Amino acid sequence: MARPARAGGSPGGNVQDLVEMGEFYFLNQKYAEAAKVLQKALSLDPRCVKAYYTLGVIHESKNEPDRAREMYEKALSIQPDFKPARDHLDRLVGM
Amino acid sequence: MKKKQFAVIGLGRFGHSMAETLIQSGCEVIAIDTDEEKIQAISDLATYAVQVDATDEKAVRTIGLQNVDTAVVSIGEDIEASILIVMTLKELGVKEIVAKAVTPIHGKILRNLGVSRVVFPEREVAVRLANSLAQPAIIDYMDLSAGYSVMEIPAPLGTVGSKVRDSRIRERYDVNLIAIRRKIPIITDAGETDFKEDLKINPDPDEEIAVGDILVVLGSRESLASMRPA
Repeated sequence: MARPARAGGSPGGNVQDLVEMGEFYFLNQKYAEAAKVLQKALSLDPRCVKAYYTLGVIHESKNEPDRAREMYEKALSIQPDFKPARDHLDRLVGM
Repeated sequence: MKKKQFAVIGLGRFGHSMAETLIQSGCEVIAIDTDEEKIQAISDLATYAVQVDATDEKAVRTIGLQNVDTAVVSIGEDIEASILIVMTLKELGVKEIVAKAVTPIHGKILRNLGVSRVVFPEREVAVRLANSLAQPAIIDYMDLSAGYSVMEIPAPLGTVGSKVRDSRIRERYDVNLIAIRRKIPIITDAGETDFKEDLKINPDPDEEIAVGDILVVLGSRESLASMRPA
């Protein structure tokens, strides 16, 4: 799989590139690296739903349900209709 | 191969979930309740959903209940109805009857009536939940018999990164590794990150235990209690 392009010029572009890089690391099961770039994305844009969501998926993949739940809740607090986070959260709480 | 036929009598939360799961497993299900709304809720899924009083022998004979392989009586709260339905099913000659009980006396009566299996869903859920609350690292726990259980637990410290044969799980904890549940990262059709679960039953000795792996192990309760996750 090709590694996504590095951060572009604008802050928005940076965030998106970082999220894509996080997804790339996640797909390659490099969870620590993925979390690092996603946290960086959140430091640039604290309302980045996809970064919170992907961090949730990473924590869930590592059997850290409490931290996963926290991330999904943050994603939903920004975008309540974000279905992937809602589905994961419902499953985690046993609904 | 002929599909296994079930009747689920009583479509409350327990009965509905039971019917839904059996249907998803490819079984034929006759769903029965006296409540029209409950029948409506399952009618699209079930092979046959019928609003009938299952204590009425003539009525249940008409719908062919005597031909099912297994009948599940999932009426708990109305003990009288539960007993009457079990008696009707016995008279019809249903081979296997599984019935839900709400109290020990209810369970004892059902057992005396010849029910193949009595389940106490609330009690069973409470025991499993208590186990998981007492030991939060345990993902699932199921008692077998004579002090043996099956447990799902995140891979213990020191096993992650090693091959199954090198992890020496059997020597270290006196338990048998029967499967590994692994989450495989994916991108969904909608373009979102997610994972799918892969179950490796009887894993190969050369299989490497990865971060996030859940081990399904079988052993005595004492042995299982000695395992600590990473």
